[in-house]
Amino acid sequence: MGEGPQQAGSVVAFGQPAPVPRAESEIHCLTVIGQIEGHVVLPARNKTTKYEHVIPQLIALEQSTRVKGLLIILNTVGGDIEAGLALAEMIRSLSKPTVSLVLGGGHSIGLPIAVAADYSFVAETATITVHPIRLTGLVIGVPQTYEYLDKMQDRVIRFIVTNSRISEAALREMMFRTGELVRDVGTVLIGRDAVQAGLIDQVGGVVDALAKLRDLIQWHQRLGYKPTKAARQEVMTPPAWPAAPTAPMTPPLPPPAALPPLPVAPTPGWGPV
Amino acid sequence: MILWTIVPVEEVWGLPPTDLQVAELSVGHRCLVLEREPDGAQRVLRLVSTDPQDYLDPRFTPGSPWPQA
Repeated sequence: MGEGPQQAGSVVAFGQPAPVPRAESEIHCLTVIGQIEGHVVLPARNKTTKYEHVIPQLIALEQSTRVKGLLIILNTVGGDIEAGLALAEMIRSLSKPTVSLVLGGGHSIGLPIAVAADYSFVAETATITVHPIRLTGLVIGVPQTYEYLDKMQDRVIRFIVTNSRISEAALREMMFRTGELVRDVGTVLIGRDAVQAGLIDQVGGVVDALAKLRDLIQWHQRLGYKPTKAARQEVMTPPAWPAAPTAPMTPPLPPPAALPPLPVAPTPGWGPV
Repeated sequence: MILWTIVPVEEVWGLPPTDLQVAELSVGHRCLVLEREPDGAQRVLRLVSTDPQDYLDPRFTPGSPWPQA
């Protein structure tokens, strides 16, 4: 362990911490924050989650042999409906176990993303606002607009109902409830309310979410496939596991490759946000 | 494009522009958002990665200079 004094020395000499020893993480974490940005770049000062960042990452996770599961952390105010649904569909169709945790807020289009995971958690104090889609985009003012909005609304409702325990009638009632929000129709659900409504599976925090994800990863590794959400909801108790294989389930991972030389300057040039 | 958010639309679209100069840089599987200061110095503004270990790496910590000395 000759590195210890050397690392300590570098701190003293240069005032900089030594690089953190790098460990490969089997669980990756996707954070969905601020506005979910769609086909138009939102003005600066909006904190955004961009799909061009997230979608390739999800594809990479799906293909990676090291990554076993994905934790999705949500603290979002909503955003573009198409980008949000795209994200939700991608999370739902990952072959690897996923667990979502709503911290702070998972409003509007954040809700389909939360329910898209195999198991969802909400923090005790987190809020989820369920409200109808409003006419905010560039939509041509003809009667068909109403039908269009209705269709958009329906596909979100369908997604949430398919991926959670809530009924369509109950969700619609919550969505169009009056008297709860000051400037809007809809419902605010705080922590436990979201679980009681059947939208989210459990109230919990990081420890619970990670424990559940590890559990799902074991299911996945032993069964060889990921049981569908519907199948798991039908079978409340997990099926008896086959006997654990004698050989280790996963071969030891090769050491991570060294970081290639880092690029210095961005190629596309600089510009305002 | 339809925004479905709890933030009022006028607040989303009406924010004043910033004079922040930013650019994105790919470093392996990570995406670094860099900001350029008036003197030309570059700093890490944001790290976008799903690997939680990346966030423990001081090179990618928001606020740290880029490139590393």
